[in-house]
Amino acid sequence: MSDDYNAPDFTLERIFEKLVNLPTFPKVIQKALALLKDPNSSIAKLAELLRYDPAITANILRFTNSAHFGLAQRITDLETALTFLGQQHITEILLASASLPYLNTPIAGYRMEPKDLWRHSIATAIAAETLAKLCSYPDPPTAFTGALLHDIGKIALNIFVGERLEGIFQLAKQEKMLFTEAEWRVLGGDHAVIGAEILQLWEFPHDIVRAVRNHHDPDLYIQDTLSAIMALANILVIQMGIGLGADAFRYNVHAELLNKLRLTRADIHRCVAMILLDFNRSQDMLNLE
Amino acid sequence: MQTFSIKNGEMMVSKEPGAVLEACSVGANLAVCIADANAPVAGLALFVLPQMPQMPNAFDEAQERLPALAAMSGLPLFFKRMLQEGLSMDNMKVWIAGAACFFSGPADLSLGSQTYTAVKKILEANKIKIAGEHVGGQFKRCVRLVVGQDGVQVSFDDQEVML
Repeated sequence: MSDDYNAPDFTLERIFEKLVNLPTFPKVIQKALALLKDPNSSIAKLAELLRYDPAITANILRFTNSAHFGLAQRITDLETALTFLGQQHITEILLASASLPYLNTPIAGYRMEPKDLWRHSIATAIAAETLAKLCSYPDPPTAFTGALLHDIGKIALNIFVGERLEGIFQLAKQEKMLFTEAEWRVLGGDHAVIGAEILQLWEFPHDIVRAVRNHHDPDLYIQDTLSAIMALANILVIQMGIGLGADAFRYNVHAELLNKLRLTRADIHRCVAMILLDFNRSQDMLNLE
Repeated sequence: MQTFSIKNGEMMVSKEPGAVLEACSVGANLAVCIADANAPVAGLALFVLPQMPQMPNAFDEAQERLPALAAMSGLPLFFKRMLQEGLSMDNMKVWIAGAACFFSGPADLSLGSQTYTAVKKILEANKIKIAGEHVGGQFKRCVRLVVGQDGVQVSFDDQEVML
């Protein structure tokens, strides 16, 4: 093993300095999400905001007219489509549209093909929302949003230290260590820490930033419900083999995770089935194939 | 030659010599491959759970869209389809691959070992021998078999084995 792995070389600090160069998360999406949560807002205001973005408009109309809804007549105007879809579907489409440019990228160091990360992220988002509802967590859309972006740190690592990711993979494999331990050994931090830093820069809510930071650390994610939901969602999607990278199973799972969320084995089986059905629908509608 | 990609909860049976059946990104789920090289016929099913969960609002949809969701209900159906397509119980071979697991975790979350146990139980109860298996470990797999050929190829962690 090379000496490179024995001491952090402030790589993490250098990555943090470079994060400001990442393209920012679209402001229009953040404004739209704020409007959706504002009880004094309206669909007309939302349509006015979104109508100037052709990609989002196209996605919303495509989703509304998909076979999933089986509409007899085609909807062609944005405001009608938004009214028809409702808050949850609108949120999901906005987030999926905005995150595609980030998540639809090959990440060689994690052995991820194009679309693997997007597929994994969409499935984890669906899983988190399903679990949130099952646990009576008060804000399932927040669980969806956080989970969609939980691995955003992998993209930054790929961009800034892509050539070193292979070394992390080999270290984890040869020394049979946790993948996050290998990331810490080589970089002085892991993709969850970097992801949280990105989301903080993009001014995401603190709950989401914390859950993304915690999602691979059993001692941390067991402390709060949203972190636990996000960790469990990721664990279930990994088990289903959706969009897996080389790091997939190289983690520990906290023994009390299910107790924390008051879930049984039967609940988990039901969740897995629901997640698969919803994920297959999303693939049809978002053209994830 | 045609390649069929089998995803979670799906099963595929083919009689087309040379056709490839493959399941990539096999995680804790379990690929069960059955083949009769003489017929020739081969099938691959990707099971996710040991048994069908109770889902009052979506049970029928799950059974229809994901026939291989659960081993207890899906494996008998898989054999039935194979027999309908000409499988001979005397000539058939069965291989299994998958059931990856985390370094550590509670048993209730070990879907791979639960599904593996269910599949083994059904096969043993019917006195069906497993010709080869590649299970466990902390890695994803890609599983391939070719109609009319003997054996199953498993790729994982930059390696490849033939079962």
